[in-house]
Amino acid sequence: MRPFLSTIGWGAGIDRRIAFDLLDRFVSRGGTYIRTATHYPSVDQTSAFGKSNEHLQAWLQANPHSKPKILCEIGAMGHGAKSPVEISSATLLTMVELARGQLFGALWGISIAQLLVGHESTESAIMRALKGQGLRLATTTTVGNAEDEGSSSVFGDDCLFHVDASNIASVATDLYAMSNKSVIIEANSASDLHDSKVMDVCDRFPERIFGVCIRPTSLDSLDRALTQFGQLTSYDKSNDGHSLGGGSVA
Amino acid sequence: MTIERFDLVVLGAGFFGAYTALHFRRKGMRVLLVDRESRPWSKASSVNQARVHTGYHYPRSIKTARMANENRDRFLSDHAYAINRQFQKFYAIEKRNSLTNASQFERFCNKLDIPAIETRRPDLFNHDWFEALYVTEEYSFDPLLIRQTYLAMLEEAGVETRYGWRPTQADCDGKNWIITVQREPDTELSTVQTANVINATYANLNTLNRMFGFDEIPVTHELTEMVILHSEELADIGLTIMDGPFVSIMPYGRSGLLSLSSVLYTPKAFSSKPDPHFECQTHRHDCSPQSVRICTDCRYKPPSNATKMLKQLQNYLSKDVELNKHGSLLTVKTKLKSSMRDDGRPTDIRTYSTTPFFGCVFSGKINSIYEIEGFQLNE
Repeated sequence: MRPFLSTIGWGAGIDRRIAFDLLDRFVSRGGTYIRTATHYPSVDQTSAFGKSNEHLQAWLQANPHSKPKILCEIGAMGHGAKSPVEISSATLLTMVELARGQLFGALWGISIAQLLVGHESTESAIMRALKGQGLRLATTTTVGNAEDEGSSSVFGDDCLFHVDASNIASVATDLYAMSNKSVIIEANSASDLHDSKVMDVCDRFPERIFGVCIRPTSLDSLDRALTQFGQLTSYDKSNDGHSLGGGSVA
Repeated sequence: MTIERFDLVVLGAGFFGAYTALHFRRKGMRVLLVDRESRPWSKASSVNQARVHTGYHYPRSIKTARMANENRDRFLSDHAYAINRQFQKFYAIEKRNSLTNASQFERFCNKLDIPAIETRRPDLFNHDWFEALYVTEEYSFDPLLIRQTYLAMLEEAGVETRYGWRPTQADCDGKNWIITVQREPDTELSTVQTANVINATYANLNTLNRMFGFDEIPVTHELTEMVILHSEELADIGLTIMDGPFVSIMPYGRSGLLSLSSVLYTPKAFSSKPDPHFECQTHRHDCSPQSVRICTDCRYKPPSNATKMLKQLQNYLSKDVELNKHGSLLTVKTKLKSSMRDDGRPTDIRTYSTTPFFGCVFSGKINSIYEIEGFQLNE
C-alpha cells in the first residue's frame, strides 16, 4: 500500500510555492507516487486548465535528479472537463506524448476514463497504443462495471482501478468477488482515512489496495494525512517498503 | 565476437528510415534497422505539423511545391487509416508584412492547379489582419498512428531492429561495411557486416556521413517547439497565415487536438554547425551534437514559448474562440543551407558510394518517402 500525492487543487487555491512545499515534504518523507491529470485543477476556467501539471513540471525541472512515479489521467480536452467516455487511440497516443513532455521519465502510468470499454475494435486499439510504452495502466471505471462489461481482460490483470473513498462499501463487495484486481483509494480528506469502511477494506484486502491517494492543501494537512496513512498500513501484511511510517516528520 | 550479416543496414528509424527498411525487406533483403532511441520515431517524424503538403506552403519554391504535389495521392492512399480529411483548411495573406501578396498567391495556386477560393469567416477569424482569406484543400496525417502502424509492419515483415543502439565505428573491407553498434547505457557491443548502408538519421546525418568517411551536407539546425492545443470552435479548422513571421494551426492528425507553430517562436535556438550544437546539451551526459536525444521529454529543454505563441495566434482569431493549451512537443529541425533563401524543403537523396553502397536520405517533407525507392543497392 502506497500513498499517492494528488495534484487536484494545484493552480486553483494551491499556488506553485505550496505545491513545491508539498512535493518537497512528501518526497522527504519517502513518498514516491503522485497522481495527477492533464486537466487538473478541475475548475471551469480556461486559464487554469493544465496548471497542476505545469507546477509539477516546474518542480521536476528544479529537481532533475528526483525520481517520483507519476500516474497521469489523460483524455480531457478542455477546462472543467472530466475525461470523456470515449476518445480515439490517436488522442490517446498524442496525450501520452504530451504527458511525457510534461512529466519526463517520471511518467510511470496513465489513467483513462471508462472510455472505449465494451467496443471490441477500440479495446485492442488501447492495447496497441500502449504497447511498448512501458507505462502502467489505470482506469476510473469501477471495478464491478469493468467485470460486468467483460472489460477486465481488456485492461489486463495489471490494471489499477481508482475508487472513491465514499464508494468503498460497493468496492469491498467487488474486491471480494474478484481475486486479482488492485485499487487506488481516492481519499477526499484526511477524515476519509479513518473512515471505518475504508479501514475495514484495508483490513480485509491489504494486498489489493495498491495505494491511497491523499489531497493535502497545506503541509499540516499533508502531515496529518501521512500519519493517518501510517495507521492504515499497519494492516498491510504485504508491505513492500513503499509504505510510510506514521511517526517521524523529516 | 560473431559478426552478423545483413543485406542492408538502415540507420535511423524515423519515417524515412522505417519506410526504407520496409521497402527493401519486401524485396527479399535481410534488413537491420538501427535507432539510438528505445522509443524510435519520437523526434522530427512525430514532431511536425502533420501536413500532407499540397504545395500552398511554398509560394517561393515551385520545386518543393511540385514535388509535394506529385507524391501526394500515393501517400494519401497508402496511409488512409491516418489521414484527417474532416476539416476546413484556410490560408490567409497577412495585410502588412507578407512576402507574397494575394494576387501572387492566387497566380501560384493557379499555376499548380490547386484550389483556393476567397472567403470570409468573421465568426472564427479577425479579418483586420488579412488581405485575403482562402478556403483550400489540404489534409493532415496522424504521425503517431503512422508510427504505431509502421512499427508493427516492420515486425510483421521481419525487419530486424535494434532500438536503443547506435553505430560507433564503421570500417570498409573493400566490398562490405563492418559496423560496430553499441547499446546504451550497458555498452553491449555487436558487429554487423553489410554491402549496403542508408543513413536516414536527419539531425545527425553528418555525424554518420563522417563516420563512414563521406562529405558533410551543409545544413543548419533549429531546436523547435510546437504547441498542442484544443479549441471547441476550431476543432475542424486549419489556418496558415502567409507569408512571413506568422503562425499556423493544423489538426494534429486524428487526435482532435491542434498543432500550433510560429515562425517567430517555434525556433528556440539555432546552430549553423554541421552537427546540432545547443546549450542545453551541456546538462546531460547522454545528449551531444553527435548524438541528439528526444527533446520533448528532456528535463533540460529550454523554457516554453507557448504563451507567446498562443498570444500571437489569438490576434488572428475572433474574440469568441477559446484555446486550451495541452503541452508542447520539441525536436531538432534540420534544413539544407541551400534552401534558406526560397524557404523550400527539397528532398535530398544521395548515393556516396556504390561498392559498398552508402546512401543518405535527407528530407523535410514526409510525403517524399517514395524517393528512396530510387536507391540502386548491391544484391
